[in-house]
Amino acid sequence: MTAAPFPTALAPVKRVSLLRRFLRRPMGVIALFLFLIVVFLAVFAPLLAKFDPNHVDFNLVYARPGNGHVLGGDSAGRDLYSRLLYGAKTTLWGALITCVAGLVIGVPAGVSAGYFGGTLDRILTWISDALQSVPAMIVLLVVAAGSGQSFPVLMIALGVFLAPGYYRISRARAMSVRREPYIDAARVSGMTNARILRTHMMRAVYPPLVVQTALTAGIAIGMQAGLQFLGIGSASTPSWGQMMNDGFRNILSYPILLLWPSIILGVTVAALALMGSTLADLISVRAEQPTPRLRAKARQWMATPPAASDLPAREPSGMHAHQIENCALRVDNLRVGYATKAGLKEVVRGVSLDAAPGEVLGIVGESGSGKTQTSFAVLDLLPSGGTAVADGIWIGGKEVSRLSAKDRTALLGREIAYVPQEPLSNLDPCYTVERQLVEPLRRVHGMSKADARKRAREVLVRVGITDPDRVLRSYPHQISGGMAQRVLIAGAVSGRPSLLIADEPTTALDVTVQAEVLELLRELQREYGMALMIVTHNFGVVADICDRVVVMKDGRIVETGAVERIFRSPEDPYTAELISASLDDADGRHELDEAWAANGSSAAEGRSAAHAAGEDGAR
Amino acid sequence: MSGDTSPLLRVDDLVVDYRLARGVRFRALKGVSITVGAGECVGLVGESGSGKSTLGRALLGLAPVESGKVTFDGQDITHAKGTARRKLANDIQVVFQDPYGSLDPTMTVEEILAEPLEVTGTSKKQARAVVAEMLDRVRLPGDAVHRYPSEFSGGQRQRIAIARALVRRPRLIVCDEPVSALDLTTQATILDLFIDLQRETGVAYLFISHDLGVVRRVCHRTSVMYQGEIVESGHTRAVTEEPDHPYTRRLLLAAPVADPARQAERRAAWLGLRDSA
Repeated sequence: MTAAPFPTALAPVKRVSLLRRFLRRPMGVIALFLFLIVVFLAVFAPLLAKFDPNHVDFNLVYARPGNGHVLGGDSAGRDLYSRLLYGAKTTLWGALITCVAGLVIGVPAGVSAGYFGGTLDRILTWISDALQSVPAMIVLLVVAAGSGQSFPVLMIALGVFLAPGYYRISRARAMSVRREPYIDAARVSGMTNARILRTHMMRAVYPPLVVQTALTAGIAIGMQAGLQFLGIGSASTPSWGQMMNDGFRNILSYPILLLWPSIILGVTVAALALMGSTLADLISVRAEQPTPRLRAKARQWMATPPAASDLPAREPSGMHAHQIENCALRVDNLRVGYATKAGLKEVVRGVSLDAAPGEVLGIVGESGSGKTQTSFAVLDLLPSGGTAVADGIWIGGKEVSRLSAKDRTALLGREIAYVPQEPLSNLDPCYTVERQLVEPLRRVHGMSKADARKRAREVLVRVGITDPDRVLRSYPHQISGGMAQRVLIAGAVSGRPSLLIADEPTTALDVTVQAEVLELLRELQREYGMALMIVTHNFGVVADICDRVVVMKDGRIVETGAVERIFRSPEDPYTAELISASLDDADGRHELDEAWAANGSSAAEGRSAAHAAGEDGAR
Repeated sequence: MSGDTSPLLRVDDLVVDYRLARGVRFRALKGVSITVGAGECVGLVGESGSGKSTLGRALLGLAPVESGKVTFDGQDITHAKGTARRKLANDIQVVFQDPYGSLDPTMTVEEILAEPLEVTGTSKKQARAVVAEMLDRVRLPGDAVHRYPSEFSGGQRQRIAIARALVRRPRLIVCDEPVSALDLTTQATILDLFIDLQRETGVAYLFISHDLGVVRRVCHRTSVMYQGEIVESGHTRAVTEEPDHPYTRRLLLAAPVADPARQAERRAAWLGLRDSA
C-alpha cells in the first residue's frame, strides 16, 4: 500500500445548518416567533384559559373586558379569550391532520410516478389533475353532511384535495433526480426500487416538501375557518371560524367580536406563508450570497494600496512581451477577489500578460488556478460578488479598467468576443440559431435585418457549416455539440473583434471534434488577424495552436514564454509537471506491466505516489 | 493476460435499440462482440455517439437489449432482472464519468460507501471496517467519512466513486469515461490508481474512453467503436501505435500531442487524412 498522497487529515469545514441560516433571516425569525406563540397558546390552552370555552354565562353576553374575562364575552355569553385559545388548538390540530393526509397520499404517489414514469405516471397524474379540477368546497360540504360533521374526517378529506400539491412537487423532483448517475449506480449496486425510493428519492424530495407543508398548512387553516364559518363542524368544538361567524352576524353592533379571531387567523396564516417563502429562499440557494456590505468591503480592501508586509504576495507576476501600442490586450497586475463570510478570497493575485494582434496566447493551469477568472476579468463578466482591480487593462491600445461598466459592455462584440466551454448551455434553447446570431449584429453593429442575416449566413459558411440555412432555422437542441461550438465561434467572430477569448473551447468535445474546432480557430485567427487568448488545461492543445504560453498556479503566473521554449526547457518545475502529465510519451500498460513484473511492485508504486503528490490537494 | 478459453465476460453479437418516439427506433449497437478476461483491462474507444457507453449500460442492465447474448462467468445475464440482476451486483460494478452527478449530494461519504454493503445485510460495524479499508485503498484519509461530496474536488470524488465500486469486491468494473472530466494531472493519478487497484485486487475493467492516450495507459486490449460497430480490436499497443482501420488512424491523429514540432506534423497528417476522406 502506498502512502497517502494527500493530507492525512482534511481541513475543517464550517457547516451551517438550515435552522441556523433560517434564524439569520429577520423575516424567518419573526414568522417563526409568531407561529410558536400560537402553538404555545394552543398547547397550554387548558392552563392559560380560566374558563370553559363552552360555558354559557348570561352576564357575559356581549360583555366588555373585565372581571377576569380578558376579552369579554360573545353573543352567547361565552368567554372570548378561552374560545380563542381552544380555537387555536382546533385549528392547529386540523392543519396537522390535513398536512399528514396530504403527505401520506401525495408524496409516495408523486415519487413513484416520477421514478417509474410510463403508465403509472400517466394514471396518477390524471387522478391528480382530476382532483384539482373538482370544486373542493362543495365536496367538503357533502362529506360533512355524510360523516355527521366529523371534524377529523373533514380534515382528512381536505388533505386529499391538497395532496396534488405534494404530488406535483415530488413527481417533478423525482423525475429530475432519476436521471442522475447516482441512481444508476445505486441500481448497479443491487438496491431494490423500493429501497432507492425510500433513500435517495426521499432525500431529494425532502427540502421542497418542507416548504410545501408550510404553505399547505396555511391553506388548510384558511379552508377550515371557511367551513366553520359556514357552520360545518361540531358546535361544541370552539373554533375561529365559528367566532368569526358570530362576529359577522353582529358586525354592526359589536364589531370587536370579529376583530380577535380575524387577527389571530391572519397572523397564523401569514406566519406560515413567510416561513415557507424564507425556507424556499434558503433551499434554492446553496451558498449564501455575499451581502452588499461585504461586497463593498471587498472592493475597498482590493483597492487600498498594499501594506508593506504583504508586498511580496501582491507583486505582479508574469511579464509583457510587447509595447503597449502594439498590444491587442495588455493586463497589468490584475487581481480578482471574492467577498466571503470569512473575508476576502483572492483568486487572481497579481497577473500581468499581453498579446499582440495575430498572436495566440495560451493560459494554462489546473482547475482553481485562476485562468478562467482572469479571462472573465478582462471581459468584465465576473460573477456577482467578484471584484477585479488592475493597474491597467488595455484592449486595442486603449486603457479600459477605469471605464464605466456600460462602456466596458460596449466593447463586447466589437473589440472582444468570447467562446465558452459548454457550447450547448451557452445557446438559449428558446430561440433559433438565426435569431441568436442576427440580434447581436443588429444591436451592436446597427445592421439592417437583411444585412445581419446575410452576414450571419456568410460566417456560418466560413466556420465550415455546409447547410447554413438549415442551421439558421434550427433550435439549439437540434444541433450537435460540435455544431453548436461552430455556431458560437461564428457568433463571436461575426463582429470582427480584435481579441477573441476562448475558455476551454474544446474540453466538452471529443478529440475528433476538438481537432476540427482548433483548426477552425487557427484559420479564423489568421484570416482576421485577431489576437486569440485560449484558456486550457491541456498541453496538447497548447502545442497545437499557441505561440506563447502563460502558466498559472494558485492565481499567479509561474512562467511566461514562447511555446517552443516552454516545451523544450520549462523553467518552473510546475510547468514541467504539467507537461509530463500528458500521456503521449508515458509508458503504456504493456510497459508498465513489464516493469512491474521485473521490479516487483515498488517501482510502480513509487511513481504513482510521486504523481499523486501533485494532485487534488487542498481546495 | 487471461485464458481465452472461458473469459469472465463474453458479449456476442449484441444489438441495442433505443426507442426515440412511437415507432421510431435508433440502433445504438449493431451486433457487437467483445470479451474481458479475469484481471484484464479491455478498452473501448470511440467518439460520442459511437455506442461505447451503451455497451457498458447494456452489461449493467441499464439499456434495452434487442438481441445477442451477454455471458458472465459462464452464466447468461443478457436479460437478468430483479433478484438475479441484484445478485450480479456482487460481481459487476460501475464508475461513471461525472464526478458530480454520480454521488448523492445529500449523503455523507460513509453512507455512500456503506450503502451497497447494507443491501447485502452486512452489519454496521463490519461495513464501517470495509469502508475504512476502501478509503485507504483509494488513498483518501479516514476522516473523509463524515463529509459530503460537495466538500471534495473532482479527483477526490472520483476516488470516492471508485471506492464505492470496490466495496462489494466485484470481479468486473465497467468504467465509463472515468477520467475525462478531470484535469490532466489528476487524470494521470487516477489512472495509476486504477492500475494499482487491479494489481491489488485482481478486478477486471471494461474501460470506456474517447481518448486513445488514456486507453493506452491502462488497457491490455482495446476495441475501437464507430457508429455502433467495432471496427478494430487487438492488443492495445498494436491498436494505438499501428492502427489498421482508417477511423482509428483519424482518431489517433486528432489527439494533440504535447510537443509543438510533433504536433505540427501530426496536424498536417490529420489534415491530409481529413481532406482525402
